[in-house]
Amino acid sequence: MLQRTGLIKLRRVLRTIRKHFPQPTDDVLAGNAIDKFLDDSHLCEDKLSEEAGSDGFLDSIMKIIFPNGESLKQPKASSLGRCISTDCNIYFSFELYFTSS
Amino acid sequence: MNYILPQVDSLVHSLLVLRTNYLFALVSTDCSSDPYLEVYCNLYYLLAQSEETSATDKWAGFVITKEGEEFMEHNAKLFKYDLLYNPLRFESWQRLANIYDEVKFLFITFLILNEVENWNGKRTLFSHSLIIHGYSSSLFAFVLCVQEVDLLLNDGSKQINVSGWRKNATLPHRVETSRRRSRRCLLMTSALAKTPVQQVLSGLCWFRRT
Repeated sequence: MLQRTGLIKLRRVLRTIRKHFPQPTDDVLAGNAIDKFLDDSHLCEDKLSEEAGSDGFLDSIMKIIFPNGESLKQPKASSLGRCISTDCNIYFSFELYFTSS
Repeated sequence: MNYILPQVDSLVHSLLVLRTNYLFALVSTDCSSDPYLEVYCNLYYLLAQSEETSATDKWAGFVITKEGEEFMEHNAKLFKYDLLYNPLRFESWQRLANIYDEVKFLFITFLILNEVENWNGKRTLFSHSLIIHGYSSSLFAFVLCVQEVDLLLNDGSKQINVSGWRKNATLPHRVETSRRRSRRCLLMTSALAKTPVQQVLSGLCWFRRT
């Protein structure tokens, strides 16, 4: 019961935070590499399956997902637009959770 | 209700890390990159861990509905967002594979319903039919299939019949898309599996998939 109550409180604070970070920034979402990998009609799975387990398989598959070698996009600072009231909301969500626990 | 509660202590620890990330972002003076990057890196995985992402505990036939499709896509998005920041996180690939794998139930429903139509619905023949259709001849997979068959006899077959399936172009498309995505996620898990447990999980999922 305690577990469930704790989980509900945790979900509540996380959902509040998510309202301010609903999805990755546009820079990161642009050309979504994960979706592309999952839906690419030109990808030959049979060939990949044959390579599975071999040395260098991870490198091969990562090159397919991120052909330019950029696995973690660094959003430009200019694309960000948080305001003070947003920061206050998130900050108080955290504090409310940890002071009431 | 079969939903297993995640370990709240571990989630609270992750939330503390997230708060630290956030506080650092607030005081950051580095203008060259996103100060909230670490928040993004941790938030979606934590959200996915805390939310109920499995559709199997919903009402009968839930995954077949539009609501079920949206539920699955919503959950899949959390893991996909996390993977944009953490493409080497084994757990996210594996959980994403599981989400897409649930649509597999629809496919098996189709096989079962075919057998219902052809063989007049004898339960003992259903599991047999899965083996005939090439699912697997091993005892282990057989047990898994029997469990799934039981689930579907209770749920899926009440929601759609064979002619309904054949007339609906969306469902077979969903199944095919999910199978493809699940296969690719599992390929990634097999590439990332390092510990014996991960290797077993990855191999088991692949075994069940093929």
